[in-house]
Amino acid sequence: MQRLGTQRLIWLLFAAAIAVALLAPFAFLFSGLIGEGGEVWEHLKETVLQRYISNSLQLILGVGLCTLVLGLSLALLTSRYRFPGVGFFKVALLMPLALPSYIAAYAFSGLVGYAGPLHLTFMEHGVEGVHFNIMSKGGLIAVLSLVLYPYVFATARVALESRYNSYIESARALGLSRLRIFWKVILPLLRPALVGGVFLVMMEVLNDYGAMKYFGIPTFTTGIFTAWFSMGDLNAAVRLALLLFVVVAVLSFLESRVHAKHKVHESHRSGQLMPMQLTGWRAAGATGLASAVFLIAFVAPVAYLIWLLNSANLDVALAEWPRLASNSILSGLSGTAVVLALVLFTQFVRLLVKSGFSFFVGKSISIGYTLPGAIIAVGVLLFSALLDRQTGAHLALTGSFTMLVFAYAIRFSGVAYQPLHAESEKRSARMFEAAQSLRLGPVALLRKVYLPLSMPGIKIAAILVMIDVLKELPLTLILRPFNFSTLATKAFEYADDEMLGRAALPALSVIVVGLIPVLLLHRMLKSS
Amino acid sequence: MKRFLHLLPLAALFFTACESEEKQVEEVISKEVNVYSHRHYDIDQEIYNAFEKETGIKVNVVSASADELIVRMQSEGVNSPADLLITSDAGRLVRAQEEGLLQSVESEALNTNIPAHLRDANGEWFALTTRARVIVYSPERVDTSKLTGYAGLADPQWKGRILARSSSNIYNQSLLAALTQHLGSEGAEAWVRGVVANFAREPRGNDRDQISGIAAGEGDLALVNTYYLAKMYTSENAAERDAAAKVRVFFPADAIGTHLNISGAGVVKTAPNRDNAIALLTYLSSTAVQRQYAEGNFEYPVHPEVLPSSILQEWGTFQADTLPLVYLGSQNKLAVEIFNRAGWN
Repeated sequence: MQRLGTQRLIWLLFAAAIAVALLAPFAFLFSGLIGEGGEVWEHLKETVLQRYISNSLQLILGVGLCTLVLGLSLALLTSRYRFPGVGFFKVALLMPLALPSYIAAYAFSGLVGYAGPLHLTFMEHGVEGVHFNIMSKGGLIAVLSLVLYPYVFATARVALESRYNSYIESARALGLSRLRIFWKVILPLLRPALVGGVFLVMMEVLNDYGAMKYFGIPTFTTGIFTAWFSMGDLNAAVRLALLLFVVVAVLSFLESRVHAKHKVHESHRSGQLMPMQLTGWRAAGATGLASAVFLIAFVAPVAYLIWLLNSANLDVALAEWPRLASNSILSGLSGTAVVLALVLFTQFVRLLVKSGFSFFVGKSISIGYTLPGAIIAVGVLLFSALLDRQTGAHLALTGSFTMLVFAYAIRFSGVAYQPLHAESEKRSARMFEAAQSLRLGPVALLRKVYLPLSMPGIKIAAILVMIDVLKELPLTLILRPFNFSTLATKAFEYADDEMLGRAALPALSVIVVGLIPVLLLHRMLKSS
Repeated sequence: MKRFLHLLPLAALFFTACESEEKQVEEVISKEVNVYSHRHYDIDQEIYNAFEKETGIKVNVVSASADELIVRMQSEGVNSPADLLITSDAGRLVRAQEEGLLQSVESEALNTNIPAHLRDANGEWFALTTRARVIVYSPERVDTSKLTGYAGLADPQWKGRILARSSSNIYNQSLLAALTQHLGSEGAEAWVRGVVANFAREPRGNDRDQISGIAAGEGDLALVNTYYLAKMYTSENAAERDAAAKVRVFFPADAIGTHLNISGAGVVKTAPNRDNAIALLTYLSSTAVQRQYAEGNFEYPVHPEVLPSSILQEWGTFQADTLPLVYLGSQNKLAVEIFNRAGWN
């Protein structure tokens, strides 16, 4: 370890202060956990806990598996082969990422349900009874898989297109069959990317609330709400959240093991492997498969929402639209900016001071991503209320936009952590060469070397955080200031009041606004 | 730099002066009222706008679920800016009251506009509208002479025919809370087990989905709130109107009667704008607004002089459960426990 200069020590203390601030709200929640669980906890343990666990496990495994198969096969198809429309599908197949899962849940079940467009169309042609109730566990797995597979698709594609081509070339030169290349070369090489993508998917599943509630599937997340709200026991809710956290920690540990075990030397000769041209029925099949996924996962729910617009009174919705949209964009931009600043700073300090402590500081601020939003919201409420009381400042913080952004920072720093951390690790050697040869101080190092070098990671992190904040519900609902609604909260409120027609406009807007970062993400993937 | 330092005390003085002046103005004529509301229908915003126009008092709203709002008020403590808490369920108002979050209001206008059984005896909360949780059924497949009340739904004759939504839904919880008083805790649990045994499928969807489910033939009976059915009748979507036309309303008419829930409001104990909150509350109970609730949202008005919308009138009158509303709050936890034990998901 190098000698710690005063200057570096100050930077490290700053980073530690950020981590303490972001973790402080949790102290309130966890302080109540010492000792025996209360009567509510015992009741939950006896009656429904098993059901929560089994349902949650079935969902994460089911959705994990489906997104793995769907995401991987689409990534292979679009990056290794050439067929009509492949350029378009590379973007199009990312688009479902812009659909919030609760909106997808309402849309898919409405689309094929009784009195939905499918039913009505068949009825017009004299065929009765074509409607399906998809509100079951299997249905939920299907719906969530359709909107979440892009996480796997994106990570797998990046790996496939930029990294391991030379290995595949060698395998081909050695005369391995295509199937053998897949099992022996591609799959092992892709494993870290796939595990990373599926991990993100599982986090999203564990945090979904709206879709599970609507489909009536009791899980950890719905259980947390029941324990806390209906039974008025915050501690039991936090206990459930902690249990969930353990599950996540195990998953996260397994993920990092995979990363460590499969450190692969990246090939520098990227982009040399030409995709194979498909012809005839194979080309038609590829185009058909990609179109089918795109149509089902994105076009169908969006078309359904547009269909709903036709039968809704839009006066109110249109009048408030500009305010909702600007609030969404405002919170998206502020949330993203703050998350990036905090994560970049702590990661930079991690490079500046290479120690276990600085690593821990950097890693610890990503913890919020593994806890349900509602739990974070309460932590932040209790924390800001205490600050208000201590400072005597009359509600300077509670119910302020600042506190909402602070909560976004806690929740989504983990999203930015992955790409930025990976980027930092990759660049660290070069950074220190630069620092030493140029005799740069920390500020100059940050400005002239670290930030420019981290640009690709920064862009991806910014896009991912932006998409998440735009779709965010529980934090915004619980912590927002007076008269502050976003497109997402408005869509949720209408859907919750069972007025899906009214929800359509804000819901479509969330999707359209969310498409902007998705398209940017596509450009990033292409150039990387 | 030094020169500016001299200015600091001056600046501080200036700001303190401004601040205290502002505070005084606030105390004398506050032109705001802060509402924490679980109601977020379009007509609510229209009503607030009209109030603002009439009185010049600006209505600021935070909307979230009542539970979330209660937690928020609790953590804000004495610093809470909330003046009026509005919920769409009696149980949540009672919980807020039990947690000491509401204050007593004595107002002749409110007492005239709202019948005594629809407000708290101490004036800590007031109903603004009521909604009935009724049995809807398929007239083709259900013989109405077999329908009695909620208790009858546990009868094996309905095996495989009842549709329900999840027990995490507050309207189901409040209904069961009431039934624990009528049937006793064990009786209520036996009732839940009986109904669960009669389910046509696992609970799922919202109230409207249960109605569509009957129209689609998934089941024959369901429990829903009246205004959802009325909204489907008048939907801009023809298919929804058709679905609604395929079901009928039955008001439970046994000894228990029909379960009523309320949407209501209470003035917050620490309300910084107490008078404005009472003014808004009174406005919401006035005949004009009560008519809006009735016509715009198909809720039953509480004001004795205002009639329900014509659709609701067509369904006829009913014998309401006379159980004091306070039980919907005090028995909520017990109800959730029973649901969990008896396996109503």
